[in-house]
Amino acid sequence: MSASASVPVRRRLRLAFLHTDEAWVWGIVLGLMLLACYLGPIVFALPGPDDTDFGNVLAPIGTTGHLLGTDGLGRDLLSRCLYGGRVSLTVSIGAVALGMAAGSSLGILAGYRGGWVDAIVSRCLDVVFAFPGLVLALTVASYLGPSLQNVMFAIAFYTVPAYARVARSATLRVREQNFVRAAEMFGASGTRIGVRHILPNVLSLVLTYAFVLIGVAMVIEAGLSFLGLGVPPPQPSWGQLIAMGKQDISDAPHVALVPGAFLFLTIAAFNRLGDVLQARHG
Amino acid sequence: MIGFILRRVVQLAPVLLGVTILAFLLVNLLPGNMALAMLGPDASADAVAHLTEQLGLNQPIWLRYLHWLGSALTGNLGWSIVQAEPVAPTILQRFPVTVEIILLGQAIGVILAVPGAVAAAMRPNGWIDRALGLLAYSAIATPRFLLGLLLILGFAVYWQLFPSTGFQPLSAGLMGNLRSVALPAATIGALEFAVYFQVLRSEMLRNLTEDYVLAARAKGLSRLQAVLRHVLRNSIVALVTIIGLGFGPLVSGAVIVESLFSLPGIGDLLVTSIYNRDAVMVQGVVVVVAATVVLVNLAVDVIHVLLDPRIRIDVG
Repeated sequence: MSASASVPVRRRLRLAFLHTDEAWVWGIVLGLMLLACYLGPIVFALPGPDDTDFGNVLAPIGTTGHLLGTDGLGRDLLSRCLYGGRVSLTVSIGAVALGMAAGSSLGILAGYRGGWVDAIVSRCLDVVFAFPGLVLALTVASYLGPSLQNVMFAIAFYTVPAYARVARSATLRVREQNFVRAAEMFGASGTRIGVRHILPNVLSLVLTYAFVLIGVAMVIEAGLSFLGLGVPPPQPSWGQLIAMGKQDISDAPHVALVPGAFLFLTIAAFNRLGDVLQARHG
Repeated sequence: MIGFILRRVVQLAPVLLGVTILAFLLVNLLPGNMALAMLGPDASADAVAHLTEQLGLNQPIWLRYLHWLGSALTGNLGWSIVQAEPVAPTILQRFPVTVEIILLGQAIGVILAVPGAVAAAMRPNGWIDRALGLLAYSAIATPRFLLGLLLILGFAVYWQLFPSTGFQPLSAGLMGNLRSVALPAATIGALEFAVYFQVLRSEMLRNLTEDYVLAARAKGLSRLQAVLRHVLRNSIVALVTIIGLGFGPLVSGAVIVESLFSLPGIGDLLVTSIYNRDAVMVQGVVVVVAATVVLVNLAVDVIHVLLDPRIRIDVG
């Protein structure tokens, strides 16, 4: 009481804002990022991502007409980053959505059925878990061939076991509760119990976990693009833009660092939002 | 104790078998003809048919798997046509480089995280705790190749303290070797620091509320003494676990770091084999990596039980 009274009012307000509504802060950052990437190039008159301006090669940040500078071919970095964001965000969010659908179904099935179904599903997940994320995505992506959908599938494949584990352990907690017992007593089918009774109770946890996993998916997507096995050029993605900026790193570091800043901010926002929401769920 | 280890080994066998099946299927069952993939889209039908025959691709897949598994069990992972080298010795030769940067990275992580976490636990939510927490968060949100590029920019381009590419083997002298792996190891170590710090900090804060800390303080130990002698010791188990379980993810990191810094490790081998469409080599690398991850995880379980006898009661 006495300690809080000694804190000046303005400072107390600022801290309260940071502590109670941190989820909103990051949510707004992400919302702005999504808006900028998907609508920005339509709303504002930006040069196309592949338009070259040889009069302005490796222009620094703040050049008129090129707010964030240009790369070695005079292409506008802001425009490339916004278009690249579409690819990075679409791939990561899509991959996690796919992994969420497949993984949660598997996890609920294993958790609710138990017994040999659980044993088989769990051992299979252990097997997939033994493959490091990037190694798995790299191998799958290289054999499916480079395209946006295939990169998405490759990363989704990696998120399935992570999701299945979360959904399975949540299901184990719900399974023993009375409303599930009651539904069983009334003769509801396994599918009905899974969809109508277990899924709604597992869903909030599963959705919360998505934010953390999208952050992970973005790191993997960027890694694939960096190694040249992601979404193929000319479609830019953040990882690819950083990789291309590598050759100019000593003369014009901003070519790599500008897309790097976009990638960093987005991953940090997804991670932080996921952590805050997870902490709230207990 | 021996019973526990035996039980874990028995549980492990089907997982290891599954690992070989998945590694084999990944390369063999995905869409696309492997012979065509190796030869490129311009290859003649004759050449494709010949290579298909040579690789035994016209046999049923289960038969090919059993053949491959049989020779893999004797340590023969096949012959890479692209590199004209046997697979197993090549992997064996590349493996130490990867292990070196991973171990050095983990060492950097531990050296930074332990004092950091102690300082943070001394004054939770103090400025040291907040600053280190922010640093850890930033490190986790930075993809490794981006961090590596920043390190190259700072320490190789600007200050020119370390080389940005190239590898000096240990046989060419310890200092040269360490200099050549300094930036790659630091790239790996930064993220390890972040993860270790977060785990160790929250584990120490949890342990600080236990009665034995109160007892130690009542005996007259200062907070620092209590933290160092009792809390840190009880929190080390969690750190050891996280270090061990981090091996798998670190191989992903090694793939990126080796390719960025041109180090001849197993990650670089995987990436170049994928570029060269060297399916046999990819299969070999993937299975060796996954099997190593499974074995390291077993070792972590065993060490965990050795360090903390309480767990034995839970798992039998």
